Amino acid sequence: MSDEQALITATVRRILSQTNVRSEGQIVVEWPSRSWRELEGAGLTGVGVEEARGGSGGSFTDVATALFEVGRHATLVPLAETMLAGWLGGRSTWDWSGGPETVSVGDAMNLVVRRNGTELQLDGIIPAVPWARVATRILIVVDSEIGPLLARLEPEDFTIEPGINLAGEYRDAVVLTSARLISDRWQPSSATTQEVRLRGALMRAVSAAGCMSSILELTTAYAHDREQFGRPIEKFQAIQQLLARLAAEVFASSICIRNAVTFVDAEDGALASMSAVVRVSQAATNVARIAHQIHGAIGITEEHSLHYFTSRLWCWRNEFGGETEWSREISKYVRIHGGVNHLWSLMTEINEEIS
Amino acid sequence: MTWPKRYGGGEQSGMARFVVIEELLAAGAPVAAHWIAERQTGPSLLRFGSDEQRAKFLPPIVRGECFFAIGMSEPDSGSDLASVRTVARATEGGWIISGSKIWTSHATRAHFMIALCRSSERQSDRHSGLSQFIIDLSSPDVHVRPINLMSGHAHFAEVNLDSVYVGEEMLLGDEGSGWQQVNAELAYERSGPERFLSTYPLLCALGDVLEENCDSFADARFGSLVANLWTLHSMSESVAEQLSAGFAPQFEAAMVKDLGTQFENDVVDVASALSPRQLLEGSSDVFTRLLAQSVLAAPAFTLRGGTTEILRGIIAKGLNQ
Repeated sequence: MSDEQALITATVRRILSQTNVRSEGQIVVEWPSRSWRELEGAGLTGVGVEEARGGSGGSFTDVATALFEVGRHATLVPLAETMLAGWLGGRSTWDWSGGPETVSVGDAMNLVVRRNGTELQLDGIIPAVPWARVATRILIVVDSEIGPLLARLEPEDFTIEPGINLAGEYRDAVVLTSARLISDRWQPSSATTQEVRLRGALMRAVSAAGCMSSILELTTAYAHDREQFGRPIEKFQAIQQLLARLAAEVFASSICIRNAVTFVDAEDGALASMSAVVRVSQAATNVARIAHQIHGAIGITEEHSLHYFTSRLWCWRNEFGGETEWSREISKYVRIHGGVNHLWSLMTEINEEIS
Repeated sequence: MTWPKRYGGGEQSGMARFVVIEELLAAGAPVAAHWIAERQTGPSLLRFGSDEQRAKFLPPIVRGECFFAIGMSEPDSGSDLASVRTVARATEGGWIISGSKIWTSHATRAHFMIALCRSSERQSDRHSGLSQFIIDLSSPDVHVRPINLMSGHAHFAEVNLDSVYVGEEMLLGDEGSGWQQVNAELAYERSGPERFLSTYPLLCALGDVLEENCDSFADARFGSLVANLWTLHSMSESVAEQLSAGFAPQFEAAMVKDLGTQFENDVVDVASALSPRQLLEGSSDVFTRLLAQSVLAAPAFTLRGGTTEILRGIIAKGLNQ
């Protein structure tokens, strides 16, 4: 870890460790939350956004460092969304708003896009947009007959049907009724809808890896402290087998995240990202199940903190395309890139240089 | 590749070696004869061996002329390795070794074996009193019996040591330090790419089969295997980096072997599920042949080099530290 990343980790930790996850849990919080304001004050919400556009600068590794901590603390902040919007906006001609921002990928099933001269008209309901109700703007990427378009929605363009996921995070439906965007509010997108989804899925995977590291700590501590049959349950082979599987899943996740983050902007880095997303999704399922099994009944109570972490894993593993969708995309990617006979070189000959 | 030049080595980095052996395995190269001597005997000799032992064994290993076998398991000592009963008794100028080793890979072809023996009476600490000896397998008192597996191949052998005399210069490392030396070896044995690439040729053959006949279900299963392969490659590389930097990452190594050998089995199960065949080992069709071979080989993956259950015990104990 570089000095820069160590500083990010320490700062995010300091800010988020003051947040009581319980008080910001299932109960609707007053916005902007205290932790968001503090992250903003420390310049962390603009990490990954160029300084010339109003951000704090920094690489995707810096972004991932902050998002890992968000997962580790199970905090309710739209940091991943703001950073994804910061990356997407950085490929447009627009300045950064300072956040919080969010991103959604529109699809033809629920969003109708018409071009009217220089105006863009949007109709439809985009379901479960993360943090839509608190966003200063929503960036929408949508496919059209002239290629992917990037549109910038501001609060007056839409109405909200509030929604909340199992982890207590806002997932609002955004309702667009003949929303008209003048020409400076939309432009061709240099990122495809697929690229945006993959970047979003990778960001979720990074936070999920952070969640899992906390779950491993909670679970080993519980197995150490909890006694049955006159000794700590960690002394039982049956529990040891579960703990070992849990640790291996967490190790696997952290390693594939590290690689995917390294290669995220490489010309042929998509396979690393997709693999990390799939593997972390699988790990999320296994880790949540094992952790609950070891914790026993106390782990499924509201009082115990385990559910703040496991509920995030259950929600995040499905966002921006889940395990099955990205597994299929891997197979397609391998087919397009020379078939299975080139698989080995696809994995081992990545050029770290940015495309 | 990594060994000192004075023994014929290349003084390359551990990572350079990692790349080469991974490429060899991915290509399905025949590597078995040389494998153990290069992977763990050489590093053990360099770490614990005497100058004479290094000078005698390392150059012929480098030339590919000298093969080694691992003498750890015994008929009554499998997972519980510290219970070995092969005894080394001190005698004038050397040791007399008696006992029996089993599941010794390629002992019928190897020239030497490093045997873990009890060299002094068992005390309260069962890990003390063990020592490693280099045994010449061509000695008349050594009897090697091949063991046919259910595949019909004799990969393993049983090695009977009938009062074999070995000179004192064949004691490896310090007397009584056998347990520590064996554990140092196991970090090399458990984390390498051979722990997730055994069925890679089958994965490739499956990819070829699916090329002609893919659907979204098959794509999802195959893509998931690729994601896991990628992850294991990265994990194994990360352990190699730590080994190369002089650390002994035994817990991480155990996790690589646990997940890696599960993956090797998953490849077989997915291949069988997506393209079921009559299991004909002699088939001229590559996929069919590899599938039949892999089905028979698969049960050994999670046994050899430490069973899954033993590895998980090691990992769980590591979590307490």
